[in-house]
Amino acid sequence: MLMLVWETLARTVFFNPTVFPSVTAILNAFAEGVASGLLIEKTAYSLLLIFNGLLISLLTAVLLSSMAIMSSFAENIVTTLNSILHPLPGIALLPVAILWFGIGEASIIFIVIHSVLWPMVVNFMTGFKTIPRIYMDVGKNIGLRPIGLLWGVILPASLPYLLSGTKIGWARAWRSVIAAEMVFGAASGTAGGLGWHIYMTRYLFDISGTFAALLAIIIVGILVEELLFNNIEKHTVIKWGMTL
Amino acid sequence: MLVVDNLYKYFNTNELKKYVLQDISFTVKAGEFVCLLGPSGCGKTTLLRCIGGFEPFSAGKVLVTGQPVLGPGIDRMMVFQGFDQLFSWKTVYANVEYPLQINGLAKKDRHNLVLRYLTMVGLQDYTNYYPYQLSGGMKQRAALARALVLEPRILLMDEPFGNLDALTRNLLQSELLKIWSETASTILFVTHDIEEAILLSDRIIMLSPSGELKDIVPNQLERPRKPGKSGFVELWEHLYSQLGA
Repeated sequence: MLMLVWETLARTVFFNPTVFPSVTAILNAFAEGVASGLLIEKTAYSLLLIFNGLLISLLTAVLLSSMAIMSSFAENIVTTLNSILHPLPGIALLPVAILWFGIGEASIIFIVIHSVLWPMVVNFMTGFKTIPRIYMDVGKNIGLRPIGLLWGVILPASLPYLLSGTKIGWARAWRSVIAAEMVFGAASGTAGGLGWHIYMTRYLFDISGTFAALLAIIIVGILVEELLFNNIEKHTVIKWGMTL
Repeated sequence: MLVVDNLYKYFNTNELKKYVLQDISFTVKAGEFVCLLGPSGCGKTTLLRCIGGFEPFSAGKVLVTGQPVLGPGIDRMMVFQGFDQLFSWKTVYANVEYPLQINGLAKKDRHNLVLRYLTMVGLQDYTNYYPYQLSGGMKQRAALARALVLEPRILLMDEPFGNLDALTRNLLQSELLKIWSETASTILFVTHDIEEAILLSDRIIMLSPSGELKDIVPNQLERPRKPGKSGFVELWEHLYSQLGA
């Protein structure tokens, strides 16, 4: 339906086909991009950056949130850091990132971590704090000590929040990686990811290619949401009757 | 078995001590079924939590087989009132098996114990159910099996049947008595229900609304007990007048 409207609009005389390509042109460019491997290569590169950033953020968020529930001092520090850093747009930190990490992957991953970490920490801390006291009591009663409690009770009991935090993190990571790549491009010998690809296709006035890259972003987003997150939920929180 | 000696718990508010529990002393012998009876807010749950090691107390001693209680331990297993005490991410079987696993029992030894106690509470056909699929009564049975499986020295029960409907509560009370005699467990059972205390216990420890020990009433009515049998009403009247005063 959406595609049909788009196609009709694109074929009217009001729009210049160069800047408003038709669906067929976009799909063609997409198919070409996939066939030549270029689009897949760019997507894979961006996904790799996201994966690294997400993984580091996930572990850091678990660490910060568990420290925060164990001591009120740590909680103060984490909440203060959060209120300072959470509203800062990742892109605004780019100059700092460049100074610290140079132009390249490290800076992009830094931006991704910054964009992802704080929303994750907020969700994880909420999850950890809303664990029923009874779970902690039972955990201690059956002989679990701090690390065991974290692994055996705290993490599974707050899984709905861990998942929603990771979902938000994933969406934020996509956005920030594209944005950061558009600025950094294929600097320092890296191949460059989707963001750079979008920038380059626009630069070369291959607007169908630009839209094809946007389409790739959308498709990956849907795949991750439907295949990855929905499946994880089906086999965990939904199966356990733990949905929020 | 269990010795509670001059136990106090208070909070300091504006240089005044706000007492929750005052000078509580009693003992529970091995194999005994003792009820802690008192009105809501009298501190009976707090007392049980102190014995369980979940809450610190201000003064006094709690000893289990001569050892002071310093924190929660598997020698004192607690069954709570809430239906949410089972880990919702584990099946009934896994919930009961988990304490054994943590405490280092081999898988094949675990299997027999888990089945034995699940059968004892009548849940042998529900091993693969998740907690949200169970009724309130079944959840409490599973929680009881989880507490029993570690074969604790004393079972601490905090109004475990308080949220159940009357029929299920009666059923679970008689099953608990059966399990008690089969396993020769020692049980300290908190309740505000006089009838429940009479049905279950060998002795009834009564707490006053201000958190003091009011009386310890022996309960030697012949088992099985029923509200209509001789002596039941008299004991009920006695406890009721004490509580009301």
